[in-house]
Amino acid sequence: MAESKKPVALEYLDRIGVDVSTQVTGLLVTHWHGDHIKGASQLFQECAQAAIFISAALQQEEAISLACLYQRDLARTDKGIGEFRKIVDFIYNQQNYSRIIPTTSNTYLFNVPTDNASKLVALSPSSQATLLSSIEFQYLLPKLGTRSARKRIFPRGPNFNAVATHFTFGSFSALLGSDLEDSGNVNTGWSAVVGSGVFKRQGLSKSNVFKVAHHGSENGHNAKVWEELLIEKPLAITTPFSSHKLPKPTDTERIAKLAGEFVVTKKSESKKKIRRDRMVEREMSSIARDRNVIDSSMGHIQIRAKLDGSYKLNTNDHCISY
Amino acid sequence: MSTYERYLKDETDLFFQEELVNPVSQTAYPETAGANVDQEGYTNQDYSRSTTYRPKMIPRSFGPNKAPHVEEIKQVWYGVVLGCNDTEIRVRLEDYTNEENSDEEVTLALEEIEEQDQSLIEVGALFFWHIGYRTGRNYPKERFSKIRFRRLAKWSDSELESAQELAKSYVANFEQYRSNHA
Repeated sequence: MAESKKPVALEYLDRIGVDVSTQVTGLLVTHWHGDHIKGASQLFQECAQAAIFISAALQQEEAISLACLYQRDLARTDKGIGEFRKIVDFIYNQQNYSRIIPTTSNTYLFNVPTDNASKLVALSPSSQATLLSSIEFQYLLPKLGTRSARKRIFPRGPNFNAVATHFTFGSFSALLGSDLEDSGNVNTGWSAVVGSGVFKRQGLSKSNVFKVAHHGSENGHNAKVWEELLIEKPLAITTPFSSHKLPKPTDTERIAKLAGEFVVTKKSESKKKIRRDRMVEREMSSIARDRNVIDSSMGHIQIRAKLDGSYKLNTNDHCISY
Repeated sequence: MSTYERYLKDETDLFFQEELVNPVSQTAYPETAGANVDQEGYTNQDYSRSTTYRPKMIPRSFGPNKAPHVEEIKQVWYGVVLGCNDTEIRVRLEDYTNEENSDEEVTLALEEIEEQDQSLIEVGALFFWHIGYRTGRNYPKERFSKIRFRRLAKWSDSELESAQELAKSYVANFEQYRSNHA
């Protein structure tokens, strides 16, 4: 969310003069993690003409059961799943089925097949990833007869439901990695994207820009993606995940070697200090170690592409270039 | 409403919500004279125990100059456990005293957690952390730091079944719509 408390996407579109109620034709929910979908339900309401592409893995009964379970929030237990719950409420309570398009590998989000073709096509999740995702949600659901404790839900394990996409605009293309990870299973994650031949089948070109997957983590890295799906030395961009201190210095080093330029929207570790009462600070310092302030300042990367493949990169002061 | 007022309201609401959520479990709340209840009214017992329902304890009014101690709370955090092992836990803290402050993640040694709370530690478990001063009738002003894990009502089978039924009907309606408009 932006400092104005509006979803970042809404604030940005407002700023560049887009009438979201009529001019936004599609929204993509890549997966359910809070750092990626916060504010999505408000976007759905304001972008009234937009089709909603949502990972097919999130349309499984297990995922929706988990969201339904947290419909009555007790003591803020729903913070991890709250936005996904609001999305489920929006879709199913309002019966807005006409706008919903479950998305898997090979789904076209849009396709303008002119001489200078423009298209956005999903590269994941694979069918096996969708199945594994429902197993993950089954694990997160409390079991009957066990009287499980109420608690916050956190994702665990590799992200099986993330939607990575390939965007083409004339001679320009970008690979948008979302939180897609590899897990050692060749039928899921980036291994499935590379192995499935989707690039060849859909006539997709190697990309100039790579939105690096999973905040630059080791799990989000696949060497074949850099070799086969990207031009040499592409522009690489990503957002940090402060909670896990991603990208780590080793990740930054790896990506900076492969990319022409690597831009992160802000530092993964914040040196920000919070001013508190001195006694409180002393007590806290005596008990707490490895303190990490989750910096809520907003980095911003804007890429304006042209049909001839050239593009302009704009960043704000929070961004760091390697 | 400030974050702290919201926190106090949550504690009250939780009482009523637990009653609604577990109408048949008859949640237990010890009587005021019970040694198991601390001054804030937090119980040391699992809310899900099946005993006769009694109203939640309201701290007794001891009258002026008779309260055992007075606490001045300087800081409240609402915390969640992100990870744990045999010796320490990693937690995320939301500042309830000043909601403008960013969240913080810190590591706490397990020995900082009271014995009776240690069985409640797991990823996603929620707690309050209070820091302040305590002044007693019979002792001078002292600092205190208190981490107390929440004892929320457990998930009942009826809640789980309701959620699953609702999800089934959502999915069925959606599939029905798609097959009608294919």
